[in-house]
Amino acid sequence: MAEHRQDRLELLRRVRRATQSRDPTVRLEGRIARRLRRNLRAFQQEVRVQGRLVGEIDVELETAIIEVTSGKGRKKARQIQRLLHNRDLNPTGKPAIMFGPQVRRGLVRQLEESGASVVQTLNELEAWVG
Amino acid sequence: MKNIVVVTPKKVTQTMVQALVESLGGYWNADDTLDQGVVERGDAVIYVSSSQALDPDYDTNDIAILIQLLGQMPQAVIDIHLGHAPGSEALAEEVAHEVIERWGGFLDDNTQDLETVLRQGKAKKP
Repeated sequence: MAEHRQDRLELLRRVRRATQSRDPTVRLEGRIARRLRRNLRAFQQEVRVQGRLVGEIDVELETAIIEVTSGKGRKKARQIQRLLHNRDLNPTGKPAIMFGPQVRRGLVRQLEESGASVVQTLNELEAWVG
Repeated sequence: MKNIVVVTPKKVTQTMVQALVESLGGYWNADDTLDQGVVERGDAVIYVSSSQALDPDYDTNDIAILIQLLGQMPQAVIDIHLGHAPGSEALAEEVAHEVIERWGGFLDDNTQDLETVLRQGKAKKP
C-alpha cells in the first residue's frame, strides 16, 4: 500500500516537472496529465518487451490512451495505429485519443478513420473522458 | 510524443531505413503492428520509420512548396518520433541529418509553416 502511494507520488511529481518543461509537447503532456490526474495510470511510460523498446505512452488513463502533439500532427496516424493495435502498448484495447490543438482538418479525418478520437482542447478532452 | 520528419527526393523504403537504424546500433521491431526501428543511446531514444504517402499529411499547397524546396517531387517521408528521455531530441536531429546525408531531403520539425521556410530559403537539398 505504502509502495503504491510512493509510486503515485512519484508519478505526480513527474507530471509536475513536465508542466514546467521548456518543450511545448512535454509541457502539454504535463498539463493534460495534471488536469486528468484522478484517472491517470501512466505518464511518459516506456514499454519494453524482453529488453527491447516497443514504444512509449504519453498519457494513459483508466479508460484511454492519449497521444499528444503540439505540432501539426504529420505522420501521427501510423503512431495511433500502433497504440490501437499493438498488444504490448495497449494490452486491454483501450481507445486512443489524439490530442493536437494544431492538427489540421484533413489530418483529423485521417486520424478518425484510423480509429482514434481527435481532441483539440483540454475542455473537449475532459468532456470525452467524462 | 514529439516527432520530426524528413521529406526525401528519393524513394526510401522501410528496408533502407532498417539498414540505417542497424548501422547506428539500433534494432527493428518487425511486428506488423509496429514496423519501426529503435535507436537507443544512453537514455536517449528515437523511433524511426518511412512511408511513401504524402497525403493527407501534406496538402496540395504544401506539396507544391516541397517540390520547390527539393527541386523535384518528394518520394518518401522518414518519421522520427522522439522518446521522452533526456537527449532524445539531440539524437533525433543527428539521425535526421544522417538521413539527409544519405538520401537528401528537407527537415520538417512539424511546427513550421512551409511557405515561410520557402521564403527564407532554408531548403536542405541533397
